[in-house]
Amino acid sequence: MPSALETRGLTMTFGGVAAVDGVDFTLGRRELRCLIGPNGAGKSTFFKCLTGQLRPTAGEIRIGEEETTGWDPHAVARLGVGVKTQVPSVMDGLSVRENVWLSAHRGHGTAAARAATDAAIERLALGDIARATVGRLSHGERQRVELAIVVAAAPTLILLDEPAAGLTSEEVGRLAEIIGALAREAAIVIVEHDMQFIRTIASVVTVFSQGRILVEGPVEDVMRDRRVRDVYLGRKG
Amino acid sequence: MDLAGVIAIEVVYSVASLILISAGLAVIFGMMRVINLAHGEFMMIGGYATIVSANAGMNVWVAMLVVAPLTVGLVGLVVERLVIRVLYGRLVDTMLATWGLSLVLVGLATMVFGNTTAGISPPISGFAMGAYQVNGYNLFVVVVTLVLLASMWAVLRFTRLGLVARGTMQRADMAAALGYDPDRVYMATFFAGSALTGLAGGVLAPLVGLVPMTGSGYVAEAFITVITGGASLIVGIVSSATILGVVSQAFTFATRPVVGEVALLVTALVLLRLLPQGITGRFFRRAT
Amino acid sequence: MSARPQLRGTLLALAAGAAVLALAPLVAETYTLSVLVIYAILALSLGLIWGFGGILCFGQAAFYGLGAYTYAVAAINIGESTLPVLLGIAVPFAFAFALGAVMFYGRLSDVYLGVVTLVVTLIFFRFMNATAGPAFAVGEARLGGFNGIPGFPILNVPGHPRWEIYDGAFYAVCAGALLLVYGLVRWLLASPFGRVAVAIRENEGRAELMGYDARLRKTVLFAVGGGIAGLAGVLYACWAEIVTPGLFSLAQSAEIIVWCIVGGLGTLAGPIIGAVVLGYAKFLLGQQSVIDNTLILGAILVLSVLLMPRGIAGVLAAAWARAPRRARRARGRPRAAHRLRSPDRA
Repeated sequence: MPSALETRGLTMTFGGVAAVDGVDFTLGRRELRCLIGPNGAGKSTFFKCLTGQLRPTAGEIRIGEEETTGWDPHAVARLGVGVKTQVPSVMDGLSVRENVWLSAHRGHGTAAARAATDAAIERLALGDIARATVGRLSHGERQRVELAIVVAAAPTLILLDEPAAGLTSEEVGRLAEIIGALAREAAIVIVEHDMQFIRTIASVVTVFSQGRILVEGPVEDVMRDRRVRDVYLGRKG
Repeated sequence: MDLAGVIAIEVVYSVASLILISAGLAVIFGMMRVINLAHGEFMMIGGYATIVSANAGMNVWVAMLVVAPLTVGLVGLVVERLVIRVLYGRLVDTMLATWGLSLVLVGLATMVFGNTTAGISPPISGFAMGAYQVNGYNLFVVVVTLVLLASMWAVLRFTRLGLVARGTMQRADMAAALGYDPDRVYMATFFAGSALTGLAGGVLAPLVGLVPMTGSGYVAEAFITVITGGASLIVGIVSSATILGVVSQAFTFATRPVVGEVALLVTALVLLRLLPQGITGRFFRRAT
Repeated sequence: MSARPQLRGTLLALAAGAAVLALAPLVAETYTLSVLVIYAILALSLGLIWGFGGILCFGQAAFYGLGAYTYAVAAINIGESTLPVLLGIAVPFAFAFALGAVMFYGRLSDVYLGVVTLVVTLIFFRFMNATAGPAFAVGEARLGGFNGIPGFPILNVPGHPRWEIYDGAFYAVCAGALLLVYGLVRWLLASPFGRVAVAIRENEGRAELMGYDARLRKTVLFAVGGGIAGLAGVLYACWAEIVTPGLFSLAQSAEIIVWCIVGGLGTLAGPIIGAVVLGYAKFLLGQQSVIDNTLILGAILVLSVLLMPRGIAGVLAAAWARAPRRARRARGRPRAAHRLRSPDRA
């Protein structure tokens, strides 16, 4: 059985600087994985290579059975990849429902889109504001709308870039529940800073440093690792 | 041999005139991210300013080198205060408003000067090169362009004003960070850009039969040269004007002028398709 | 989501439009009305791609002129008008498709889009102006340079070349075409395709992350706009009975943009209202010579950008539903159709 996501020697250089440097990464089906690391470690660049927003300089990406290196974002998305970007990327001028419907329509076709829209709105508890224009919502609500967009397409691989950023602790708790439930349906990669949040979802963690994978393992083990503490404190181990 | 010389002069002249008509637009676009679609009409005003003052008995050199830039610079100031300032940061709205302005200016010129051709004869006579006649005034245009480029470069490189300008071109909030009022910087920029445009209009006036519609012929070429050149002011317009000028002259000689014009436009399309950031977006990144 | 009210709204609008179009000959001559209706179709073509697709085309006149020239050339060669009409729509559609593909697959940003469309229009304008002489002919049709092509067969009843359509009947055809185009555009916008188009205007990156190919969809939308503009060109050719390079002029492009701006972007009624009001104003002004027409057109454009950025339709809509509109404006949200990615700096 193929893994949900795999990279081999993935490299992305910007003007001679390797932001991602020969990363080998494997994610099992239904696996939940967090990517952490200090600023500039290459997490977000790695993430953007996966989604097709950046074209890697070298190396190879495999999603399910397809090799997707250098694919455009829409082609990657059609494989059943749901993406939440770092800054909430939603259609501000449209209603919540329309935002979600657009995603459901892509994933399910016109006939089933309505049911999928309702389900996603229900799941993210957006029923009360379904008719509101997204541009007028709070940051937390917009984050939830974006998650509903991801969920509505019924993805098999979910990529979330800092989903907990800017949320209240109450919202973070709810987010952890939702992610827990999603993890039973799909493989998930989360780029995150918030260690408390990562502990809550009890994930396996991959630590990035200077464009490479430093260490991988359960969150508690990783946090005890001296090298990880060193990179977070700015010492070069 | 004579023919080669004549062709060489023609090509250099065509590159120089492209640079000349684009310089003002490039200054305004580079500094303010404003595309002034009334650019051609600013040139047209410069042309009329020159012709009217020359016909009124003023020295023709003073008319084109002093009166035209000042007149258009002042027009630019008024326009900046009344229209552009209101629309900062709204690129498309600015384009639309200045397009409207260009129509207003064409209309005004038609009412004032009528739909007839105005002109003055070139103040420099031609000379013979072997069997061919060379237009001496074209060489003067080349010289003006070279002086213009050299002084723009010197101002940007060696003066405080130039430093502020270069900073602003890199980052819009730079002027404020250096302690300059952005409002003043923009006003000064628009004046300078307009004055350069007026100079171009004045210098080229003896070469064209001026009608109120003359501007629309310039604006497209200036616009294309600036956009194709990309973000770097001097290197940008020089490189794109060179490519576009050489191509259009090559086709003009090989076939006929209209093909040259079309070739220029097609080349610009191809360049934009290949280099969507303009030439200097891709190469010469650090140039001024 | 709500197909039924959508449909009812469309039918109501069509009925109201049909009534207005039917009553209009009571107050003005059908000859004038015909050209106003043609302008309305042309305005609709830009209103669709700009207001709903966020694609600012400075060269809508290119497709208009291309439609008119295609019709004229085909009508001279073929005689019967049915096929020329279809060609007059198909050729601009295909051309817009090709041009759109080049631009959107090249990921040109807004300003560059404006430049490219403007340049293409200029190429047509200069080329057509230079086509005097027998060397420039398509079949039996001479392109005629600056003087254009006069004297081609006008619209006839399909299959009957002798039954020409003019005056009142031609007005009816134009009115029918406007209603048809309006209905089609409403339908298109209500369909998933139209909703995705609006989504792309709102946030192209998100639409792509959802799995929609924005490049292809924008190309198709652009081509539809080109086809509609081509239809307007065909009708104009039959109305004027001559086509000239002026159809490709920048002033023509500017006029279309002015109609949309003054009428109001992001609506379908707006561009139509703008075209009719300004077209009629131009007709009235054409009868005086105190103030230059170009000056007035330009002044209207400047003033409406400065003072009425949402257009007539925006003003009316604001009056209609004052409270929510004001709340939205208070948030300082820029108009969606105008939101820009600024060109990257080196």
